[in-house]
Amino acid sequence: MAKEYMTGWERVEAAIRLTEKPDRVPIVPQLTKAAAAPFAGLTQAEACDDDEATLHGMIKCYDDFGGWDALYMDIPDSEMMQILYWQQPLGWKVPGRDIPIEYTMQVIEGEILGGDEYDRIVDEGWHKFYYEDFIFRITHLKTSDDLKKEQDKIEKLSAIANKEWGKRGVKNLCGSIDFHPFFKLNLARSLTKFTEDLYYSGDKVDRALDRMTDDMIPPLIETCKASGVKVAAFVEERASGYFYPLHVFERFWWPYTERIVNALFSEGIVTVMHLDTDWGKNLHYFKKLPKGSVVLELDSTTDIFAAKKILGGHQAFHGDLPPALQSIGTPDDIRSYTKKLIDEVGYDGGLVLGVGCEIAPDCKRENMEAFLETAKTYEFSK
Amino acid sequence: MSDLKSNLVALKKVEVLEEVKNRAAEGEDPAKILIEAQGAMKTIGDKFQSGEFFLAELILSSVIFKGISAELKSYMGESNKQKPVAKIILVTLKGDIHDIGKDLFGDLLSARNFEVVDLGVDVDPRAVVDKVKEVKPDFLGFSALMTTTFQMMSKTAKLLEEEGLRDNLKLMVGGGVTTNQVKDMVGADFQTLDAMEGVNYCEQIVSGGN
Repeated sequence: MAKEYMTGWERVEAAIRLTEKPDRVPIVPQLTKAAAAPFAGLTQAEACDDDEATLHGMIKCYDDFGGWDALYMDIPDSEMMQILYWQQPLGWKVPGRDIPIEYTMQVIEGEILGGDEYDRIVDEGWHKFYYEDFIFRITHLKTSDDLKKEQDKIEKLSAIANKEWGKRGVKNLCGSIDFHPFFKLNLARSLTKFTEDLYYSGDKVDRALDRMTDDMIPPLIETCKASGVKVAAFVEERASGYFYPLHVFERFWWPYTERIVNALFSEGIVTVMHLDTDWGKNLHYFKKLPKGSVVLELDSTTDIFAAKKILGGHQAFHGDLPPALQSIGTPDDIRSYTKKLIDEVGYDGGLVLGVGCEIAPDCKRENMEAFLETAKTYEFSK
Repeated sequence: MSDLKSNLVALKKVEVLEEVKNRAAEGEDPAKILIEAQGAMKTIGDKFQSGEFFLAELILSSVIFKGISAELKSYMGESNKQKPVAKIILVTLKGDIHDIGKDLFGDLLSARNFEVVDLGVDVDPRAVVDKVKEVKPDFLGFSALMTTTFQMMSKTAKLLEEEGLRDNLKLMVGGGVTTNQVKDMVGADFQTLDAMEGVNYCEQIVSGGN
């Protein structure tokens, strides 16, 4: 039987940069705190209340399941982490604080950004607007000192995380993560209001997107360089053909995306795009981007097998074990789907094996085991 | 095509609401205006089915239609109110507080003259069963964005069975994480990720299909 001859990171790099077929498909499951909590014996409220305990819960999961090739996130995706570092512009209901302890943390979407505030973003820039004003609308934070304290807590947690993950020789898939400007505005305005803005006052949206794109690129590059991981990610869950016609996509999403990807790629940085919902109507656009410049991270609502036929050999994929299958499927279902992913998407490289969006908070332990075991052994068993 | 209909299909919100306001103020039968608007909503639905329109256009048309309904409300007497074609209860079950998809589905059904009873989010299965007993709906729709809601769907469906409420009720599941496997586990009659597909299913059942 063939054996592994690459390190986890070599495997990931080979797959995302399309340089060669790795010895086996690399595995990067999107382990969040919500999924780690039950595996590690924590309640959802505990996972939100004690970041250090949750970090150790995530590490316990990694160890108990025998590890994988790179981390999706090295510290828990706490409320503050998502708002401060990923700039996710909406509030959260937190178990134990706002909702019952057994619930997972859930977003509160509403019209937080006013329709008359686009020009402020253009004038001030996104970061000043977000960190000096908007962030106080969506959190319990009152002052910049409060903000600094939260940032310090996360820095301390990151130091612990670096030490612990370093012992295991595993690093983050992405050196930097942000939300796409289009998605930020969509969330901050709400789906309905933002859609009205796109159709009835598109020029002001365009101006804000333009400014936000300029603001987004340098920090992504700097953080990737500082981390030594030349992979950046952005999240986009609202721009696909599931929501918007192609004329909207072509005007408000694609040009800004091209600008981001090209700027990063000119620095040798690959962009992982976390693309939830069905992108089937948009896939052909990604052919226009340089070969090996992006990884499409699909959530199982886009047909990844069809996507491979369109983009295979040109861009890589990350995905996409369906959430429902993790939750209610059997280990045999999981093995069968994982093998299909490897055979039909990963057969020539270009696949990082992951799950749809994130590991389901009610993913069965035996399903996670079946997924990882199949991923690690299937190709060598053939 | 009337101005109202063509402007609504073209998603011209200001023009549509202005026309409705003027025509109602001039004494035109509000039911007639509403039927015209419903015709436009049907055209929009057809355009969505054919791939010409997208979810964005359904959202925008729903906003406009709600504006029309609000404008006409004060003019509507008992005599010119339309009898609903069917009743539906919509709910996001306990453990999940998401409502965007559910709300849009409800708006689209209202525009097709369904009576929509929206129980909101994070609702206990017992409360759903009690409401089904009270309202006696033709359809019950569970919306979910989280896999953790699947067990609540099953529990509610089981309670409905136990209380003999399932026979004349079409049970639907929808939302980003639902699949056919979820439908089967819950014992539902229909599953979709697509609000308009759900509307079409309801209309098909009302008109005698399966």
